[in-house]
Amino acid sequence: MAIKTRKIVISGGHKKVHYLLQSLAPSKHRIVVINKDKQFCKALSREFDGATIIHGDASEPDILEDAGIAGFDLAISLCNRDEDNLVISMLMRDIFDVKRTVALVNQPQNVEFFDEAGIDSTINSAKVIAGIIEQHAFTEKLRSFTPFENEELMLVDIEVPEDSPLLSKKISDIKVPEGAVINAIYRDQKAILPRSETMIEAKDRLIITTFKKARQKTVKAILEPNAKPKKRVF
Amino acid sequence: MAKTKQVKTVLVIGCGRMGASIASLASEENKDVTVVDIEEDSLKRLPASYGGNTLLGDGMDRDVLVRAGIKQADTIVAATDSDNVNLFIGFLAKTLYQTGNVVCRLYDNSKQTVVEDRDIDTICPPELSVRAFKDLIDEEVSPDGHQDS
Repeated sequence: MAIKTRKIVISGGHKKVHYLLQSLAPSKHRIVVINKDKQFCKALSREFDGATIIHGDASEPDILEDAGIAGFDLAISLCNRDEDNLVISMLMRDIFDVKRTVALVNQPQNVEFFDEAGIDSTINSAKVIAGIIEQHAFTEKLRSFTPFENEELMLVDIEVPEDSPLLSKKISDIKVPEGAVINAIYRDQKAILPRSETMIEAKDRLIITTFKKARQKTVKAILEPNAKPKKRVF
Repeated sequence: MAKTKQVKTVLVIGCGRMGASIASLASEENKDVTVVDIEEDSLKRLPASYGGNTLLGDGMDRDVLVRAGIKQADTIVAATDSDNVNLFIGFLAKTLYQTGNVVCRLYDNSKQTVVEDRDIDTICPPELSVRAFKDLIDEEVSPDGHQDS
């Protein structure tokens, strides 16, 4: 599966840039990093010889001009001040014709404004974390999610609660959302490979393979007493 | 609707030398002025004669801007010591509050391109100084004819 190589410019940030470079390094993408921190730039250029590292302020048009990023596919702004990310993203889009802009938004209240300003995607850590916490609060019975390598599929390990709609039902009668399969059941420390007549009991641990996009629905189907999954699969 | 507003309201963000001067000038002209600054000491720059309002707070914070009256403001001057903050505030005022007159102070005039065609004005003091300086030199030189050839 060939991935199209893209031209990406990353402005600001520290750990996030480092991490991005690490994960993008094996790809053939052309990457330009612009950062105000001289020492950090030196360290990056030592570690990643495939990327172009430029020391400078990405909110200055002259720097962008020199960086030669006009017409790039993607501009990612990771500064820790929202005004920097806004100005950089606007310069990238309006003056340097970068096709897509992604900006870190530090203040949750600015997300809406960035959207209005036409920044293509915003990342707000507080909102992301709030989402995760919400999910965990709702799914305390959930033991783990294990993403597969291509991240399309996930392995879910979940305990069946006392009020689960699945209790005392045969596997063959259970309605699990499309895109999910119960692979195994742990009961009293023993693994059972389910057959169509196997009954689900409270405190069973279900090992489920699910498409990532069906994950939420699958978890709901097991945990929520009133959930009504639409499709019958088993 | 037909009623014309008598008093113009002006919001100044950043009470440095420039912000403070603009605020007191506007207040002398009987405009309804509010100055916002994140530091209390900066607000002390305002002369004793200043008759407008002051608000201590972060001009990047929407709640602070609303409390300062951005919704009613005819003019907003973003004069903090950061170009990007000024552009951010100017753009925010224009986008979310449709403020009529928006002026951003810039040290780096090349950033002006980012607000071009967006009905946002910019003032670049270094550029103005250079221009004034050039005018002075030209004035001095021309009458003597040293530069004429």
